[in-house]
Amino acid sequence: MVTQAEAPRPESGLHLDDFSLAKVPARKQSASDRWLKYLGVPVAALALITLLLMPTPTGLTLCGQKALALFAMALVLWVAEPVPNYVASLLLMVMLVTMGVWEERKVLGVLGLDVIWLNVTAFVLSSVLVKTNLAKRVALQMAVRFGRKAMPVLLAFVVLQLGLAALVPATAARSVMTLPIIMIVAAVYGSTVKNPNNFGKNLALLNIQGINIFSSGFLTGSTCNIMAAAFILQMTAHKVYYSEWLLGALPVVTGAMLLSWWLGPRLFFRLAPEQERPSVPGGMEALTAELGKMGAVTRAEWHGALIFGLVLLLWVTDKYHKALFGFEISPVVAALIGCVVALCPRIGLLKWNDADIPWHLLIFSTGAYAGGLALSETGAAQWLVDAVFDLFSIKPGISFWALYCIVMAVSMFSHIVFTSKTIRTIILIPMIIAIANRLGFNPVALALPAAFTLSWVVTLPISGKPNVLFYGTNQYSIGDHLVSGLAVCAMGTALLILAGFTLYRAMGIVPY
Amino acid sequence: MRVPLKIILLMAALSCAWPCAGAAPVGFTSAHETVAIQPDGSARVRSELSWKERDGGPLLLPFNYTAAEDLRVTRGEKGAVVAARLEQVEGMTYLRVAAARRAASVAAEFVVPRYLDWNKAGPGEYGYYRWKSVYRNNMRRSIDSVTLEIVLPPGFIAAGFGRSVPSPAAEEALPPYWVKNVDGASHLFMKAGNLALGRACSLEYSFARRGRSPWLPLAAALAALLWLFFCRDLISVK
Repeated sequence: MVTQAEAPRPESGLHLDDFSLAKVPARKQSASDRWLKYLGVPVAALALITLLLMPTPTGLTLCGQKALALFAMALVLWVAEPVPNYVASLLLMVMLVTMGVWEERKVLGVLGLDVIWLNVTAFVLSSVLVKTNLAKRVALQMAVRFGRKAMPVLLAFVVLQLGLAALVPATAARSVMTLPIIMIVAAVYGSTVKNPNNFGKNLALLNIQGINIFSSGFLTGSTCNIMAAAFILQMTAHKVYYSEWLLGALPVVTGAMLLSWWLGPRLFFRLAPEQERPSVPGGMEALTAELGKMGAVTRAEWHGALIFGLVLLLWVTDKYHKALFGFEISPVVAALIGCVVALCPRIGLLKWNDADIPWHLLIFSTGAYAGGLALSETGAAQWLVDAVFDLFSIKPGISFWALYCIVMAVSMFSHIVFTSKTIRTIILIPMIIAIANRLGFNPVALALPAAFTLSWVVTLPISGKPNVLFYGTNQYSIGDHLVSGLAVCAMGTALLILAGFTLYRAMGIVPY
Repeated sequence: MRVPLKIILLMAALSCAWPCAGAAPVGFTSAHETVAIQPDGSARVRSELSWKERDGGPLLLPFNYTAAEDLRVTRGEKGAVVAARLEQVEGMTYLRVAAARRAASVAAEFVVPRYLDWNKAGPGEYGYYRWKSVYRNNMRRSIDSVTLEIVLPPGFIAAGFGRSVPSPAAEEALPPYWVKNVDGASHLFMKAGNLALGRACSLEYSFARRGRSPWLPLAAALAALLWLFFCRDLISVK
């Protein structure tokens, strides 16, 4: 799509000052970016006016219609960026209140949601890894081992995310662990916060996809997978086993990730020749020397690893908390414990000024979540899913495979209007089972493959927690995110359809 | 929700002291009450109750209003008219219906003169009117499934929902209410399962006059035009 041949500052490659996220960096604009900006406001106004003035559809309240209109307007503003995204978010919040869509206390209360707090804590913990040079050491080791060329290092991250998904169920935990490493590896290839390039774009977006999509490879990878399996058991009496889920979902997600890894740098965000190799002066030798210069693991690094390890331990042992402590420590509270230790004088490592928290990102996220939650609370999100199913006029007599393709596509892309995987699971899976029952098809044949799509939340920054975190790296725009997300979802849908004809038939999930 | 003690005592008294009440049906399967609010604030109500089996005798149906006019009660699918009247028992109003043993349902239709008080309802902020509708089960037996349907007056549209009883099961769960705009009328639905003795389901909702204010679209169009004019430097050749 876009080839950025801007020259990175070669000497900046490993200077940690370049990773500051708290200040909003200025981005260079291409001619197409400027046109997008210019047309963004009229297109946003047009979307708002059209949706506001259309007759209220059946199944939608007035507030739902307004929420839909405002979300469409904000989406255009976020993608085209005629105004900074935090301004668009603030405007959305103001309009949600002044148009009577959502109560003021609820709109303002979004800033206190767990996802926002997770962001704050994640950036504090990332600062620990950066300040102690632990992230630099891991990143350098990855770069030295796999990084002679861009493609192998990108593949190494795909493999890393696959491994982490099997071990650490919380996507936020995987994001926090890999975020600083990604930023330093990106910088090795010339992509910094101030001067991002297509390598950084590919690296960040591929990791977002890896973190989210690999969650769908394992039954225990996400709560929504377990919920979907519970719905299937409850409504069809079919017990979904871990092995059945693994065999059905993992080949599809692995295939999609490999396709994304292969196509991303070649088709969507092409790498300029200088981005194919490390851009630090002296190349790989310099990186090896830099790693050598770091010497043995320092006391501070051990200290940082210990704090991070404590949080990680709390994250991965969540199901044993109740037995151990009598209560469960949520991922946010576990991260808060880490922040307390990290910021505490004498035992910690950071002073408040060392914590690199991008508040502009948190404001953007708050507005975006407010818009998404208003869609959900007013029933507009559910109405949209119903409307899409109605659009295909699913009636008795429809062939199983036509219905299978429709269900896969709707399940896959419906995440665009939801901020919560849980609520999407609650709406989609029972609805699909009911449709299958009504039309006389085996409900498991549709519901189980549809459940495999629930974690594919890769299209917008608000679609999933990791997305918001990674958006703060300034490596890509919301438009880039949208393009790559839609592409990988299209690939995933195609793979699920292919699997339906082959693998799922062999497994007995769908009929011959 | 806690069951008011008064209602428990009343029901206990009914079952012991009043033979007709003692001959109550066994297991109501569903209740569907449609409340069509009229422009003058009155409401046309149709209240249906069905059951699988009962042990004969007259029925005492829940009656949640202050008065009823033009009362007409029918039974079964054929809709045969049956005798019915309002009765006060221990300060509570019931609809006493002489339903035959073999009938599987009864439907009562009546007009409630002052259902919605327009002065209390609004319009408040954003031009929204707010009201609350309640269905309380005053019978001795529980009802497996209750649907409350509110039809808004002509010329009004549902704006949103407030609190409901039952409330959504969890923070991230589907609410028990929904809306359907059919033939220019807004129908609000509320569903509750297993409504036991003295329990009520209720729904707070807001509605507004149909028709759109032109100001926001005009302001948006104006902002777009101003942007196109003042920000044309964005696309000027550099």
